[in-house]
Amino acid sequence: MHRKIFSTGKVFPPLTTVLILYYYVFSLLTFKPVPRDWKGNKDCASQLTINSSTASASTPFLSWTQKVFFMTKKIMDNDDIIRAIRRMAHEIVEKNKGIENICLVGIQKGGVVLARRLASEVEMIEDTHIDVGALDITFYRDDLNTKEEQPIVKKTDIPCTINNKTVVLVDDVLYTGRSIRAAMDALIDFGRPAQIQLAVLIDRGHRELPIRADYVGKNIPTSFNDRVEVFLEEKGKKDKVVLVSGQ
Amino acid sequence: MFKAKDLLGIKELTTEEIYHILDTASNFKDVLKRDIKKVPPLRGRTVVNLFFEPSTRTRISFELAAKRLSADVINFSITTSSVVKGETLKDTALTIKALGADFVVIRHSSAGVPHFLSRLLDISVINAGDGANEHPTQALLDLFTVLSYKRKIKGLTIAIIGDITHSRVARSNIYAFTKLGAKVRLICPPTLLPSEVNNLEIEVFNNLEEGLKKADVVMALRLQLERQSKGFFPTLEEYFNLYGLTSERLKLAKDDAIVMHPGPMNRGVEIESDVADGPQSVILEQVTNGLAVRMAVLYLLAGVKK
Repeated sequence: MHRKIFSTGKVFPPLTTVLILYYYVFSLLTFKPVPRDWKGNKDCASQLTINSSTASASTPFLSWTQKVFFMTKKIMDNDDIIRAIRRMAHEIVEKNKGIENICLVGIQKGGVVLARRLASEVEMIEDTHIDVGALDITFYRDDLNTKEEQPIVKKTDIPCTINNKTVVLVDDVLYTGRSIRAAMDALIDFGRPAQIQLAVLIDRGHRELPIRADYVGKNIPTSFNDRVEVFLEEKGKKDKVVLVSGQ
Repeated sequence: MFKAKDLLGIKELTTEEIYHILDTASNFKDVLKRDIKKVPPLRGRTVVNLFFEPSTRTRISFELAAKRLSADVINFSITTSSVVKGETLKDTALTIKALGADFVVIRHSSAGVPHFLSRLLDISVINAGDGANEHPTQALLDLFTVLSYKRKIKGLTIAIIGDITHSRVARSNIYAFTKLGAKVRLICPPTLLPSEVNNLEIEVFNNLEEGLKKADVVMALRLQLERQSKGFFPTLEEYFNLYGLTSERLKLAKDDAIVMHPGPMNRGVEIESDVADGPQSVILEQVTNGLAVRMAVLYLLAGVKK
């Protein structure tokens, strides 16, 4: 049953329907998401502001969708990473009083590029050569049967003997500590290092083993479901660290 | 990538899976060069070697591969087992499964036995040679060896000489090399050529000299003396004169051709000692690579969710 409001002959729906539709459209247009931090918690708006200028200022729409649907946030940009690596290199030199008996070993695959970047910084500081290796830990992992995908083994290349040397293990993200446990097992099959130290770009907490890093680029509080993604290249032009929160 | 719980033959594998096995094997080869040659991924798993046919290198290779991966190995010898008392294959297999094995490596004189076990058991079954059907790990190690010398498979000419009919190695290698894009030539007496060859896109030569021309890889097969009761050729001397690989004949192949043999060799029957021990021979390299390939197979199958 339709009413004729004007004499044009057009049929209009009841006024209540128009009002409901109008309210619906209006509420959609003016909707603002409840501020959440990357853990997905409400009422943590203060944490959201950390470094968020780079992520949200230029592309507000993108960051809006990112926050609602992906909750992606840039934690470190190119310059932050360069500074962190430089500081870590200085710390390595300082703690070991030079780099004479030191070998850097990156864990495949995220740690390898970081190890090379650290090495070139250390070499610049000390003006001598430092050995850099790559270590694949796939054969030493404890989750062969629990993972969905097939293991893909990468190259292991330890260029020097590690006997009686200080080996600095390098990885991009320190999380449960299980990779580091596996890496230490793998490393010890190559010899008996005098000391093993650990350098990581990101320490995101949630350790499941009694392991801690000696050199940390940045500590980040995260939740269990989050993902930390490190984009790191040899040249270091568009590097970044991104936190993707899982809901 | 790797979906099946078993390795039954090359025929069932995709090109991608083959390359995945070979890539993994190259990493295990690096492990074998270390001082400590043992890695822990199969710790707590059990591998049963169930060999119903005699074997030296395959059994030892599988045993050593499993041990290098920290698995426990049981060697099942037919002569001292209940098989002599008349236990059926099915019962033997079920007994092994009940004992908690994770892998069965089986060699049997009848084709299809590994496939039968694969349906019967929910643990991984690895074919180590079934009758004249397939010997997949041998083909994989041959691929690995050729790749390590030639850097590619595509476009190579592979000459396989000898007893094709009785050879599971030949069948697996034909599947493997044609899948990866090599040209396969079979060189054999007409009596030792299987009838199904017409279905495969391969060249067949009855003259060794012709077949060897410009070959990149020369693979001599063992003349399976235990299966030659029907007079496929007059005498062993006659066979050597026509199909024996000599250093003279090898000159017809490419200068950088490699000589392979799956072993065990009958020196002076299918291959001359000078060739077997010569500079172009990679026969011992094949044995070394076999260990790495078998480690890769065990490791990858262990990672398949059942």
